[in-house]
Amino acid sequence: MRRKKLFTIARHEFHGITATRTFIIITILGPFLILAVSVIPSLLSSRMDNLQEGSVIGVVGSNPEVSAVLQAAFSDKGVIIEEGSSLEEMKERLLEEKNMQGILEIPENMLEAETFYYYSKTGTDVVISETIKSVLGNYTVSQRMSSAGFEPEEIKQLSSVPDMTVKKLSKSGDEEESQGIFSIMITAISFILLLYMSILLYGQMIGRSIVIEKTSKTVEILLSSARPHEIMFGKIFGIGAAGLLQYLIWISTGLLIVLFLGPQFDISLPASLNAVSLGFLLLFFLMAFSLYAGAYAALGSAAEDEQNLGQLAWPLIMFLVFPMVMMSPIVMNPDSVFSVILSYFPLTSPMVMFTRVLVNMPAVWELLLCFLILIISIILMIYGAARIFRVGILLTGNRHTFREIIKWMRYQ
Amino acid sequence: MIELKQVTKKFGDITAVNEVSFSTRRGEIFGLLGPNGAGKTSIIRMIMNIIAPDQGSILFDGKVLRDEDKDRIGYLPEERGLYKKKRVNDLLLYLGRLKGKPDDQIQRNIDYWLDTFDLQDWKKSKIEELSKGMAQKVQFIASVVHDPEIVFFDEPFSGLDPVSTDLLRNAIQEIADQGKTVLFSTHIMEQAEKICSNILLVNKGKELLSGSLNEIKDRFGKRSVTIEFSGDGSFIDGLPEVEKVIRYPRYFEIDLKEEADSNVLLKSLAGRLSIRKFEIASPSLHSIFVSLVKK
Repeated sequence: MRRKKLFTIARHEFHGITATRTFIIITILGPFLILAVSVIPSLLSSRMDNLQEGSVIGVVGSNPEVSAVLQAAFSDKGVIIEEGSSLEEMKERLLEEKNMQGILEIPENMLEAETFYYYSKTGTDVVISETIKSVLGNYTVSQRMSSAGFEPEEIKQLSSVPDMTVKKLSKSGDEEESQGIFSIMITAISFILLLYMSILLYGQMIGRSIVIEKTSKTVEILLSSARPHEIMFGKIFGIGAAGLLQYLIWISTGLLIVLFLGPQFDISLPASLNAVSLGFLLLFFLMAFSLYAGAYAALGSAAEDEQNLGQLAWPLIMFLVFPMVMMSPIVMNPDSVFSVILSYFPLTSPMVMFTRVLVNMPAVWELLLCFLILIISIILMIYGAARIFRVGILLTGNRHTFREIIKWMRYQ
Repeated sequence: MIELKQVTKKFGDITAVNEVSFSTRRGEIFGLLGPNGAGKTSIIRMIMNIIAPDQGSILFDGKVLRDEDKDRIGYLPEERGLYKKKRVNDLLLYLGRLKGKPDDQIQRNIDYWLDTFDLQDWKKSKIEELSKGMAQKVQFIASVVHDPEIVFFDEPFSGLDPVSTDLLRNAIQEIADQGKTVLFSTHIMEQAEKICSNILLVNKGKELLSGSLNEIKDRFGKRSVTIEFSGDGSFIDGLPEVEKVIRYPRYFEIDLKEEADSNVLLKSLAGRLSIRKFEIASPSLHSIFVSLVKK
């Protein structure tokens, strides 16, 4: 392979992407989009109660003391507790009034009640119902104890529930604070999202760039100057570099924001993101990108046009989406047979093995085996792609079956 | 410069090129002629090392053609295509760089050829903004921008208007005059007749005819005679030298038998008719081509 030719092609492709308005706009808007996608849902979920100033919760069968306790629990959110006499009337109001959130029904003999009833419009406003449950539960228990003759101080002491701390025992026997399933899920999912986006965007671009050479009939001019694999690698490197540049801009902007603005706004990196996991992230990212880029190059040279490329690419996208759909069983049970198999299968291993690294660091030999399989797969994929490219690139105007494409690899 | 020896290429059961041999010299315009599907493009692709021959060899300056030699060859493919979104100058620069030439040299060539084709004003335009004829000229420039020693033009005139055709023909002549080898492929014989010094005629992958154009015309021309005369020419069919007579209102075209002497024919005609014109016709390449392909 002649490096100069490869470099010329890579530079052309790189320039062809980075000099476009779309690239610049996406590079600038990207972080905002990511912020919008990642932060807004968590901001929303922290305010998941959906309570606005002036929301009303109706109470039936209450007494002033209970109402006061409830009002105290909700007052910081500006919610008004309204006593009503008839449940039927309250139900009507709940259906008609927009700011009415729900109705709490307290049975007549509250201290002997087995359960309280809460009527809501959605049935899913857990924050309200859980708050009420805990407030009323505590209140009822203390009232029961008080009528059994306990002093308020004793009640407080007796009814306090101990907390529990989860510790993670790592393979080396060290005890660590668990990062919590939530943090791991967020890190793993953002990584897979990042990978998914870059492969969709830049893998697709590699495929398209090759199809366009065919449909615009420029490939013969290129082939009169360079060998097929020089063209293919030139495209992969050029387009890959453009993608990498974009992610470097995004990641460094992200880090700068966290470093300089983080302390003021109380934002910090997830605990599961440290130097080791970042290193693994980079490694898996590069390998996954190379593997999928090779696959897209092969599909691009086999496809008749862009539409056909989209059809050929869907099995590939399935492999990308699968680990994401399966994320929670993998995080909860990283050593199950299912997770282990997925963490060796090359099309899913970068995502799944990275998740395993985050949850519970696998043994060194497991990591090495995973890398070995990946590297062999990348070599085979790119070798196969180069052969498919060589044959497919000159065949225009026909659609080909997967079986035909496999046959091309055996051509001399 | 370029020499093909018994080159054969098969695609499955189809033999696209069957034991074709020819060689080209410096400064000549060599015509690779044949009907559509004759195997011309396969021959060109083998010379460009895009596909490999199954048998035979292709020599460049006496040595087996290597990938590096492609940088010294220019190629205008029959299937025209350029990146629509690219600007004219950027695209030409890229294609020149791919051939490994330094930027300043490529830029000089780009400017020279843009001037020649009166395209300087379009230098910064995108390809998609050009007319079809202009895009063709840009593609032509793309094939010579790296100052190649050998240039391959596959159907260079297709779709061009007469003015552009003349412009391009002059440019091709200019390249040959600089001592470069021009390989030229077409199925339109009139064009080949105007510019080629040597030709190779292929049909169904096989060589039909090769050599210098003059020689070929001599070889095929001696057997056809055109006469204009007064008198009754009905006896001509019966003459021993005559194979066939084609009668036109103002003249007869007579095909002679093999080994017949046109001088003998002239003598037998002269006694019986008053002859105004007796011409040993040089058949057009077109008619040679048609008669050979039909056989």
